[in-house]
Amino acid sequence: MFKDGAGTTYDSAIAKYISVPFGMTAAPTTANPTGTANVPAIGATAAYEPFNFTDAAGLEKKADNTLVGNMMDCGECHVGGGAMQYIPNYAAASPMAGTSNPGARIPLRTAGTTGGILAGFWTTFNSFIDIFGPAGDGASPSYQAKQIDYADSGVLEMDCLVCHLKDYSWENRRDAVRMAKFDASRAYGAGIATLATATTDMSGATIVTNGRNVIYDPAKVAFVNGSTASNGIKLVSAVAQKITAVPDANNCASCHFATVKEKYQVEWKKRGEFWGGSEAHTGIGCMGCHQRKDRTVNGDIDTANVGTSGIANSNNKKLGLCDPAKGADCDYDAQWGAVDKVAFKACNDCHQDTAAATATYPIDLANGEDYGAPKPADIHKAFGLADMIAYNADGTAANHLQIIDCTTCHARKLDASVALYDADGAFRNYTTFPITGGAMVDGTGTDEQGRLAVHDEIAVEREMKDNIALYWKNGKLFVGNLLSSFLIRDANGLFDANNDGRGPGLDPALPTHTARLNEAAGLHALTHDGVVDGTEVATMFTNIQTNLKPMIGSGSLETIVPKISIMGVPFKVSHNIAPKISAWGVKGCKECHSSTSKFMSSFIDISPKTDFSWNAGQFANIQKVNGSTQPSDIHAQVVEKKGVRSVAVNYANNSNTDLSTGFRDVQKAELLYEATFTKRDSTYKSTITGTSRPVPGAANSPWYNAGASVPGTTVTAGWTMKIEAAPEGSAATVSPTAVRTFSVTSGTLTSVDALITHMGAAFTTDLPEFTIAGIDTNADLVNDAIEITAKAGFQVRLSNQTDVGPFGLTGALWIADPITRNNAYTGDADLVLTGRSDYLNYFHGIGAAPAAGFTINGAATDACGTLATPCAAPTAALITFAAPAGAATTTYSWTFSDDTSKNTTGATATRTINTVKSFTVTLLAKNTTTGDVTTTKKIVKTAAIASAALTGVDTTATGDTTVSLTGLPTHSKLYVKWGDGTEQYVTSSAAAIDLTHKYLKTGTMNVAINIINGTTLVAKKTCAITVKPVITASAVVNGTLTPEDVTQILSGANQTYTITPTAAPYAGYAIANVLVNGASVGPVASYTFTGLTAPSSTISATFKPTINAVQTANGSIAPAGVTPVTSGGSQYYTITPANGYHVESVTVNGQPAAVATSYNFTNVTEPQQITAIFAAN
Amino acid sequence: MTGKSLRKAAARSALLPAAALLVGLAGGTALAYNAAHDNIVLKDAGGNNITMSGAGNAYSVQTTCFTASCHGTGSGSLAFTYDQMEKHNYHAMNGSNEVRGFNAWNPDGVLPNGDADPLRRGVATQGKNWVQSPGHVGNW
Repeated sequence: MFKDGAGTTYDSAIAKYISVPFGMTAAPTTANPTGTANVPAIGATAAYEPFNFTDAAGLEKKADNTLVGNMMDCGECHVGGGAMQYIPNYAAASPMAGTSNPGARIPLRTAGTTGGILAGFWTTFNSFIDIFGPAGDGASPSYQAKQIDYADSGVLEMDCLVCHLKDYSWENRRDAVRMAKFDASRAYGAGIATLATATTDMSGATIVTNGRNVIYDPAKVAFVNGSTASNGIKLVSAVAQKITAVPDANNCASCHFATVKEKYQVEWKKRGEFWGGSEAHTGIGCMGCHQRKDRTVNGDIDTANVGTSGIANSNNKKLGLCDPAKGADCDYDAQWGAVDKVAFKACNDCHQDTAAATATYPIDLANGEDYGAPKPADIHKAFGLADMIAYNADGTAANHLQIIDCTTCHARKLDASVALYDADGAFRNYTTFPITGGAMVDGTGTDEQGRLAVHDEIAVEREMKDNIALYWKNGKLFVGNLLSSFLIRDANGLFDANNDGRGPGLDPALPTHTARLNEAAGLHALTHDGVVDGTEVATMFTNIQTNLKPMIGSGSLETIVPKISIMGVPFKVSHNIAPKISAWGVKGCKECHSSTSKFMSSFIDISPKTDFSWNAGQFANIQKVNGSTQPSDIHAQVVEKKGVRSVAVNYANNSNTDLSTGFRDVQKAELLYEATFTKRDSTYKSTITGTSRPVPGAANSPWYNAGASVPGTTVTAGWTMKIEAAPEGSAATVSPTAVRTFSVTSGTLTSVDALITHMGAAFTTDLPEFTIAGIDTNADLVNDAIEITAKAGFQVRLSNQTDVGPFGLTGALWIADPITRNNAYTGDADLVLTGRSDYLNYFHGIGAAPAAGFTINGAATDACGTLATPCAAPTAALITFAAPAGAATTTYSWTFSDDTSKNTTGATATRTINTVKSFTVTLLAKNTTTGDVTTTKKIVKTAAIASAALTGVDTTATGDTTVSLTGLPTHSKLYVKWGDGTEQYVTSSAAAIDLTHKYLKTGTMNVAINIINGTTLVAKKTCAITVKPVITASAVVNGTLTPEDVTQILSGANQTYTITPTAAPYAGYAIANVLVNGASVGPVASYTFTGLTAPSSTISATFKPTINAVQTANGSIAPAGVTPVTSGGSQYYTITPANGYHVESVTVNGQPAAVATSYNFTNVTEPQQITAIFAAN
Repeated sequence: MTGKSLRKAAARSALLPAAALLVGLAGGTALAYNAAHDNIVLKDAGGNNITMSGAGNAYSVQTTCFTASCHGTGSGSLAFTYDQMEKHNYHAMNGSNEVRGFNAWNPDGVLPNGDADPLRRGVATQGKNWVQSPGHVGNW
């Protein structure tokens, strides 16, 4: 628009780009401290000098939409004023301070007329390209440059009645402005007059049929104070009464959305259709929300808050007096402005219980400024939306309401119906009419009314139900209509296809040029008939290649390389608030958190109403995002959740830049999450080393330029390197102390060395913070990469505005950024998600019905668990019940029918049961997000432990009893009950062990051994040991004890011993004594142990010698016979001859002894014998 | 393909629940009758009373409403002049108060005095001039 104030000036001394102020053509720099003042040819002393296209041909070659064209097209809705009435023309210094000088504005009404300052110049303010034709209906446009004479057309003053007169006719206004009847448009739009197409008015007076005259309708106006014409006319009361202080909603609707006569308004293509009566806010009208909040409680605007002049920018955010509050939330919306959202009555203003304490302009609840809106806090809380179970962009906890805009859940764009409510508001029928919105803007030709693009016809519309997008804005999730503008561009960056003086970049063909070329060749916008194919595209390309250069007067040797490109922009869907029964999530979390949900995983049809295809080589991505590293067909300001990186989305079928043959459907999640989560490496480094990069002109270079006059010549212009520096050792969180920028201005650099040379010493060596040089990474003696080295005292990093892709610095700026999602509910490891696929699995898993089928000691239980077929579990061993792997938000609880004290929670439960029994195990799994519960019941039966035979049992109690255990399970100790009343713990983990015990009693001993691991009984073994009494017969002399030695008997049995003295010599021995357990039982020849239980008994016998007195005839020896003698004792014998006889001889032990009548044995230790012979006297 | 397409769905208007929309949206808007708007003489762009016909007889809001006894001279919202309403009004300014020129792109967003540019920096990617300004004023 303006010659001055355009673009930037580079100050190489500080490596920064300086915005050029109005009043200058070059900004002040270090080398040129005063800058270069503009010497205006238009508007002698003022800044904001309109750019002069010189002549009609210049305008036709370079301009597209001019301000005049804007008035004739956009003016159908825009109320006038501003640049439709004045040339912005501030005092030279004012723009710097953000203030204006009202007196300096130049009225178009005088500037554009003969003698005005625009006379003789072709500017945007007095020239236009004829796109509508003389009838204003697009029937026969010339596409020629024309100039306007405001003396004939009038100007578009701000027409208050566009908003403030009920029943104002947008259609009338449109028809008037397209014929440049600007002054007339006001009365015609107000419906009080007709356009001056006749030559006389109602009084018969002659009238001029230009844009400043109308023919008033006597039914709508009347003479003031009677019938005297000279007093002037006034509105009749019926019209005057329609002037409203607060605009009627229909006035807003005539431009912002559908009306009866014109469905496809600007807002239709951006945000889609409204569904009339079912919009929840229908009753309060547009101004219910858009009436600004910066008001006092009595309803009057606080005039202190009214902006009255100046540029609306970050320093000046007051709304003007007649500005409704805007609710915009799209940086890339064509109507964005600094006053977006200022004083807007947003959802939470009315739908909260108390006025927001922090709001600049809280609404007055006490005075009903909330319209009695439902307060959803409780129901949101009941649905878990207030729980801190979600995540902010930085990974900190958040609730759903903090990260999701209200409209995202409540603006569904369902289908419309004329029967929408029942008495209680619960019934809806959305099946009758589809809600539509713009799918595409086809910039390859005009629409049927002559507009320069097709944006309101069936071929470019979509039904919006389940076909609208999601996007992040400041870490919050919004819902938007993915409107995609498609156009034709020139891929040869060395050819200036749009004639703007800058070759670099893939220039779009100007719509006026396209329209003119199409008209001449009889072509139409590609979507014209609902079918686009490669042949049709090729025809249009050929037409452009053949005829564009002559039309714009270009003598360039470069080849035009036409490409189809498309750019998607999600415009916020801010209306169509569905009744709460239609809100996302009203049926529970699974409406979004399930794999079948359409919330995030469904697909958007890019071109639903047109059969769209093209040939290989006819398509090119609109741009490369994230430092020119990723081709994308989505606006660069569509970003991932953290807002740092653009989300790259490719529309073409095979995601390739040039080989596709049509559009694919785009999954909603693609606009939200990158395929691989990535973040900026913000650490400061001493050296940043790039990777080897293809020679820019090589065929494998993304910037290979097939259309260049020297094929392969790249398009390096515009590549920007921005380096941030901070003192050495600075943390990543430290703001840089210096930021240096360089943008390549040459389009034909072909090597790293050429790039370094182009940057010059000012950027590569002279700055205080770093140097830049080329390096040779593959030892071929050719520098093929860039290295940035910090100077002493500094470290550096790359700004994410750097075109790291073509510079080969991608890895120095972007690094992987996996995110972690807590899995605390299951106790499993946290989930590490590396990209969109991971995230969707996680996101959908949140709402999955929890699985509750469990395992027993690792074995599946699918085929068991009934009474007939119980699941098996070991007895006297650990039983582990394990829940299946579940989502982070799943909790588990276990119930045991046999012992409720064992009921527990968690992903696993353990039991040890020492008996054989059946019981029921119940696992209840609950998704704490969705509330879904799944229950599994299984009957479990424990099995007996097979006891291994114990070996090596000593069956007497005379010594240690040994029990040998082998093949023991894992254990830490044994608990042994020996069966005799004694118990012991044995600490051992050996798989085999011998246990010894000495029994002190006899009988059957039931040994029980518990095998314990930690505190858990893991096995149990038992056996019966018979402990027998033992009788030890002591060795004897001079006799026998039968049975001899050791005898074992069953406990309680009898055992008889026989004691037999030795029978020789002579009469042998006699039993002297028998001792049982050391006690004498007398010289018994037999002894019986009766009912013996004592573990150990003894029996012994002693013997004594005997003396045998052998009797002979004729005398006697006394004592006669055999006489036992205590061993060592004496025995006296008397020998008595019969009468008449005498002792003839005495023999002792066969040996003669003294003949005597007596004999005394002494110290008898062995058997003896005495014999006497008597002889007659 | 020749001739203009008639694909525009005039018939679709019949499907549109617009009537319900318009009726519904009227709710909440008070049509308070303001008697002050009676007997206001319509004036042309030059400030002359309109006498039904004559050269340049199209009435002007600026001259009709903003007179010595009406808008721009009273108190409260009536205190604001036409200029004051129009010069800082996004409906009226049509983006022209935020347009820079042929190129709104500045990677550094710095003014000559070193301050940050109050206009958005980097709003348009270099070479992407179809999104370079609000209102698409200046280029398409």
